[in-house]
Amino acid sequence: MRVIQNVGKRTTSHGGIRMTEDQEREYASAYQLRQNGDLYGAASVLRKLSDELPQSATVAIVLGDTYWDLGELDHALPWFLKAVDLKPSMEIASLALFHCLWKMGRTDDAFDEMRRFLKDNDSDEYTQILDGINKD
Amino acid sequence: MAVGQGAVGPGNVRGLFIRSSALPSVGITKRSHFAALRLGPFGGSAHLESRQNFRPRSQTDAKIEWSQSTSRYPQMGPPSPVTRLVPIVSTCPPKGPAPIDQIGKSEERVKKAMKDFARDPKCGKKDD
Repeated sequence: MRVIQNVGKRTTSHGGIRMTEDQEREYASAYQLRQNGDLYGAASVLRKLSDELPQSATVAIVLGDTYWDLGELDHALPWFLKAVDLKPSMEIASLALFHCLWKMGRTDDAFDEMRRFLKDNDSDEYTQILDGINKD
Repeated sequence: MAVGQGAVGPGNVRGLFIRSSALPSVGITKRSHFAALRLGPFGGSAHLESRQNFRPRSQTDAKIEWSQSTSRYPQMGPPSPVTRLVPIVSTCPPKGPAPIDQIGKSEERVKKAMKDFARDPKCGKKDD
């Protein structure tokens, strides 16, 4: 029998993960902080949210992207890896991981991620990259 | 020979002037005579002073003067064809965008997609 947490509270799905209204508000406040340029504040709220929702690939991606915007790729990488682990067929998670690895100079690892994703999925973005490389 | 005091005469001869009538009439011209008299404070610049006053009488003289000048100061001559800057025109056809450009453009698209995803994660594609 499947146990549903937060019984009695209204929830909405974010990438297959249900968020309570409070968590939705937290996410909205993190997004607003990001929009206002308070990236550290946004990262702090998102980390707390990630503790509450450890299975959320969405939170992991947005948190990774926030660290990327801060220029902290080494902090962004584990969150993109987590997102790919949680959702291996999620294109945006794979692309985020690919570009993060590429920017860190880990080109072999980046292409490994591309190969992994394309083995079971299609991606117009990866196809464009490969077309550009093969054209030269 | 009449020699007087004063600051007149061509070339300002440092207080000396020589009347034209007193110049020797054979073997020396008026101009070269003045040039020979114009000595520097240490008496060693007569040659330089005379060269400043030199005026070639013909095109041939001018050419000689130029050639002497270039032989003494070769760096002052006209630019050599070797050192002249020649624009290099590539005949190679333009290449397509480098892989790094493709990945850079892709990165921009992915970053934009992540921003859109953050704004509305419920609409995240392939997220279920």
